[in-house]
Amino acid sequence: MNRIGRYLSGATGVLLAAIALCSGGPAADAQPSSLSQVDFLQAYVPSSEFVYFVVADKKGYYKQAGINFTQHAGSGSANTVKVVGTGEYPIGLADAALILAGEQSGEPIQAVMGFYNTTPSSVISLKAARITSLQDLVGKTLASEAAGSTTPMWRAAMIAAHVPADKVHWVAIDPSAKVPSLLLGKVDAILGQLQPIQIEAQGKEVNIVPLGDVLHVIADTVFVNTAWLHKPGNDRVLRGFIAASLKGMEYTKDHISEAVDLTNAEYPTLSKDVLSKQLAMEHHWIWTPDATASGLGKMDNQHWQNLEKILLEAKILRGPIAVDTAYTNAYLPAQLPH
Amino acid sequence: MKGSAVTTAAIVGGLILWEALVRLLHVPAYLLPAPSAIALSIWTFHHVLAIDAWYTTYEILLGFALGAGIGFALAVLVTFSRVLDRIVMPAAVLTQIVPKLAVAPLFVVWFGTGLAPKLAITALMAIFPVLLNCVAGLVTVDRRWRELFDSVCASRWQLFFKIQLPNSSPYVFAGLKVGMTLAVVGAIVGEWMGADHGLGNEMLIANSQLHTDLVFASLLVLSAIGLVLFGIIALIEDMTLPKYRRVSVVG
Amino acid sequence: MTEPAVVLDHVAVRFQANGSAIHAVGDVTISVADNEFLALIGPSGCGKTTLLKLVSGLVQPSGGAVTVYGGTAAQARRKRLCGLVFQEPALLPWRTVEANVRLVAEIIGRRANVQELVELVGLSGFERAFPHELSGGMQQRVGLCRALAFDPPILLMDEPFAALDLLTRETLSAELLRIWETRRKTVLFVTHSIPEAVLLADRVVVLTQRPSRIVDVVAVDLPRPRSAEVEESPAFAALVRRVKDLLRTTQDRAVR
Repeated sequence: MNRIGRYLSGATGVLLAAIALCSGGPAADAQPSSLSQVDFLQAYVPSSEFVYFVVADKKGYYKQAGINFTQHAGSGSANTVKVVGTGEYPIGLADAALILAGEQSGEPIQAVMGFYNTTPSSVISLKAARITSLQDLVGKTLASEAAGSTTPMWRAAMIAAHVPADKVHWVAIDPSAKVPSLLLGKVDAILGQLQPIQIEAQGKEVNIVPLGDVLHVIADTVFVNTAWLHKPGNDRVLRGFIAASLKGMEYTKDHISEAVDLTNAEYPTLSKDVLSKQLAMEHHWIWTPDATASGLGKMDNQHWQNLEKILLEAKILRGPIAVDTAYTNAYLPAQLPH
Repeated sequence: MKGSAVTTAAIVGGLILWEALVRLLHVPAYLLPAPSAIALSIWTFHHVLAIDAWYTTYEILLGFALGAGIGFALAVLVTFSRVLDRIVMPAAVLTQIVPKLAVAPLFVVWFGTGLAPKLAITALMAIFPVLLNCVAGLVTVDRRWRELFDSVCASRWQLFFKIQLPNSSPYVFAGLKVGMTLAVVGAIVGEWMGADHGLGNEMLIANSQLHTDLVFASLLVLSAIGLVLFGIIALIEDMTLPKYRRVSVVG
Repeated sequence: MTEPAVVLDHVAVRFQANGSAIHAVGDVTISVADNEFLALIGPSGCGKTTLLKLVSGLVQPSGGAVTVYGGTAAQARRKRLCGLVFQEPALLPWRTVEANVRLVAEIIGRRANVQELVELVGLSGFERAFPHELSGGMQQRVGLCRALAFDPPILLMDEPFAALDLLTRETLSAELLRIWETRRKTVLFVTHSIPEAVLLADRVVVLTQRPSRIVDVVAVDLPRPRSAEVEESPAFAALVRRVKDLLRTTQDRAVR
């Protein structure tokens, strides 16, 4: 019996120890009850896209709107769309292409605020390759991910620029391998967004051809779970959230170093230098001439229709979708930042 | 003592060689950071890494406990029922073949983005080796033991508690050891599907900034956690099992 | 005359192993008296082990009948009438000597006087030792104790000393004799050693190759209590020669 006892203690000891250890695991923070809790799911892991919301939070804009704000890292727009679709998070940030795809597959979601008002995707190459226009890609090797909307965007841009895409040697590549492949000269150009910062950090000069020069599409937007939105009082919460977030974006534009400091305090592994450079690039995707003219956050119907057309051609959408109900500007504040 | 001295010398020598090669050949940091850069990164971010390590360890331990418990329970069921054997074992093999990285996004949709999907993936990783080894241990019964028990009409339960269960303990430990190493992988895959904390999450952030030394630093901390957890099981095995009863690992 | 302990009446055993039919026991008829020591000897693989399994109820006869103390082998099994001793003692490595001795008694819920048994076989002081710490001979003594511990009337011993060196083997034979003379039991003892069979048994059954049949039964009329000295006697030598001659006829038959 003694042996069996020792055996049992051995075999289950690990499990019991594990459970005992874990019973005191990380606990959720206590929430003040008077504020509405808003859990905001980002498209990806912490980066410059977190900055505007950190600023709105730290400057107290959310608190003033009666919101207790928490933002969470995502694992790609596709997952963010699905998770907000299930209602686990009420609000998220994702690529409009995936929001449309999600709506088509029946997710109860709707875009409510423009964030990137043009596609952030660009053709990125080393200066030495002398690629300064889409025309220059002819005969060159271009790498990008096979999945997602980036590559279809580029194909659409080639059509818009009247350059035959089949004259370009396109190769599929894992997103994390893009920069090393370019630096090691394995490809002539890549499709990307913030990669120029990483490349310049290696002491190389970069040429950027923004696809937004020829494409007029909506890109990343803030979107909500509509089931959540239609619960009493949540429309007011959403209005408050959008107004506060826009204020955060406006404040960030004029106080970049303060915004970076606030973010670094919250996410210490994000370097201030990289964040500043990312914000500088993002500035062009957020504060587009259209957005500056019509007000930040407001989405243009034509930009949604352009996006739908590209996605239809790329077969990312199975059929036409009513873009008029895919998004709404109804929850934006009367006064928009310009 | 001599053996461990050789091991230490090999590790130190390897690190010096690594550092020298990186410096002499001017290997860019985004390809392979020098050991000194990794060490500096650990030092600089030690408080962040400590919090991440705590979250990841928590996921590993809880997921492992869940997986090992289910694995052991299934093994017992399988040894008692031929019908269940025919159902559980193919299903277990199937879950093992399916790449976890591919189904992980589904777990996010099914279980959300909190602790649940991480535990699910971690447990799923740990179940198989524990199940396989426990079954091996439980069914490996000396023919003469069976005859001895049959000759006096011993009950099925007596065979289980007096022979199968104690006889399986070396196999159980072998399974737990493999299960623990896989649980570490499971927790990281789970974090890659969306997390606000943890070493896997930190690796993604660092990678998105081409901050390769922090990626390696996170990996190093993760390896240390894995080694310690493995060591704890080995230690418990050492204390409860005599040396002559060790078996080699299946899994 | 008391009722015989074991009766095998025209018993035959056939079974399937690895897809081929094996005819293990041809036609065996023998009656074993209560408290008799019966040795079974024959060429290797002649189905001696199968005969023991018939008595313990682990194998069913394909023909004929097995009677154990007036009942069937299955009834005898339920009454726990047979103690098994194997060639390799097959002790549980995680149990001490004491706990191994107690094993079978524990299963059937009988109290065992472990201390007395351990003393009987000369293992005092090793009660807390684990099997791997014991020599082969000591392990076999534990195996014997395990069978004796629940005090069954029948001991089925399958070449219990075959794996031991000669000296240990002789010592253990002498001990078995001593034990059997103090606690009388019906013993069916399978062996390959002719002197061992003659020294221990009341009768020696000589069996043929598979399917086994009885060549002859040699009555050993040497006086008891016996000791190793009896091996020096001409009567012993004559019996050994007689068994050897009988065995040789089975070998010749096999060669032919």
